[in-house]
Amino acid sequence: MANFPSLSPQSRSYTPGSFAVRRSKTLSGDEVTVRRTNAAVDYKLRFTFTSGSTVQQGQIFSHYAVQNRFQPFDLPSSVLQDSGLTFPAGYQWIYAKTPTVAYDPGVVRVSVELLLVAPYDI
Amino acid sequence: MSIFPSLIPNSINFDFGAPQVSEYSAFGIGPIRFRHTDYINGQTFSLKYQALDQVSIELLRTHYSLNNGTAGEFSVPTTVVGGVNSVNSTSVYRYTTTPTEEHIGFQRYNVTISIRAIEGVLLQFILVGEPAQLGSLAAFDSYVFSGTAPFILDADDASPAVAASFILDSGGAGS
Repeated sequence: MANFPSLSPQSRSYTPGSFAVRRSKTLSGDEVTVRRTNAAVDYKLRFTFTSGSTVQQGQIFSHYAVQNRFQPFDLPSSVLQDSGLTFPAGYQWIYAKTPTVAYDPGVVRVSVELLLVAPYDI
Repeated sequence: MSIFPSLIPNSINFDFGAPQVSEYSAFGIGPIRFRHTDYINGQTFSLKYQALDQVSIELLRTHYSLNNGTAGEFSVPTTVVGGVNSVNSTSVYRYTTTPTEEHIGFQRYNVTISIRAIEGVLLQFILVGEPAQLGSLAAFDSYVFSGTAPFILDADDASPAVAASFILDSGGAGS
């Protein structure tokens, strides 16, 4: 298992996990909610890494080539720096989708979306 | 029931909700409508916060987490929703969706939170299969089971606080 590269993102967004819930409505407008689990799933992190060269792009794509959506990995502290975010113990990240890259003159932007998954053995 | 943090949003979008009316059409006459209650439900507030500091975002994160996401219900101080008082006094609020934070700088956050007022009930079902009481053994022979009752679905690997079993009782099979 290789950790995500120690990079500092230029932008970051975070979606906390959600709980499996079933809702039932009645004609009178009452709404009953049944929560099926104590475990939240679908934590998501999105990063954009901006650089003047393709070095960061190379690091991320090399990492993605090995991990893909199959091998879970940990995040270095640099990508979450000062965010105060915490996650369930033992959970790891996978790529939610293929990283994308946008080239502008002299600027390379790599966008990455990660998904937190429960521990599992491979 | 928890209370939403007293954080004043930078902007608010508000949906007035809808009464509990159902409608059907028949041949030759116009739509027929039934009003089930006088209660207006489903007022939706979209609260947009900009450049929140670390302490404030932690309040929102903690509330969402302790509320079990969109499952739990909570009350909202009227100052948070701009003093709007068109919500029924007995309404409770729920998160409509999971909020997404944008991290815009050093410990500065933008977040939009969508909540909905509704007449709601939070039901909590807890399935506990312990402690199962074993009765006396009884021999029986009937379709489809053949053997010695009770048949036990062993739950040993679940590490219950007390040894637990699910018992498939063959009492009605003539034993």
